[in-house]
Amino acid sequence: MTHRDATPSRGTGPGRTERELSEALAALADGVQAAPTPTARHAASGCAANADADSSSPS
Amino acid sequence: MGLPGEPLAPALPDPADLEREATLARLFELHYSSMLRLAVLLGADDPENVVAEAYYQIYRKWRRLRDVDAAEAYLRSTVCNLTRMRIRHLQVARKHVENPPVLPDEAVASAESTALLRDDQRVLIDALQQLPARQREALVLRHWLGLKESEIAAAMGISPGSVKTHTARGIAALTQAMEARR
Repeated sequence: MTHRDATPSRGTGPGRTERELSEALAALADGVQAAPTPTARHAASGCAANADADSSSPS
Repeated sequence: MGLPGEPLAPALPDPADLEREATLARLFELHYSSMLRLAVLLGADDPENVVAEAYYQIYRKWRRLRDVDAAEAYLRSTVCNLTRMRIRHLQVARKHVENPPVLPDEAVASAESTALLRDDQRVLIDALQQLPARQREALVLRHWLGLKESEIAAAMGISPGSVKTHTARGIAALTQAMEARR
């Protein structure tokens, strides 16, 4: 009688790709300098000011 | 009413506007970083602008937003849509100009953020950026944010069945790309 390992293969296939993709995305995200900068805050507040101007202008 | 010549008293700000400003500032602190990372992972060449535009849209549609808890999902969905539109715009522009703009996959590949990736991870991310936009979105939302199928469907504005199709096709394509490299 042959013994078959019930655990799925860890080495190949979509399961491995999924794990590697999760790791790669996490590593890529970690490399992004994502702290809100003063410029970003300014842009967001500028957007808000524009939005007010848009909403007050006649359509 | 003031007398002629008297300086006018400044108008009192609308409490609803003050509350909106405060909530928006809180949303900015809470979600800006993850939205920026999402835009980068989706392949945006100008992630800061994408995220600023997403906040602009949420500000404009504030009254239609049912509750603040829905804001994160709304921002996420908007970042997906704006990035997709931006990439499509660049692809069209590239066909019509002599000096084409840098496409997102090239932008990501040259970004400092990829400096920490291993070679095999860089190959995988490059392959991810070559996928159709819907497949890329579904995979990023699933494997980076860890969203459920129903949440991905809501973010992308498609059915859960379509999410399943996009993720399966995307993973199959990436697996093929990685197997070819091994």
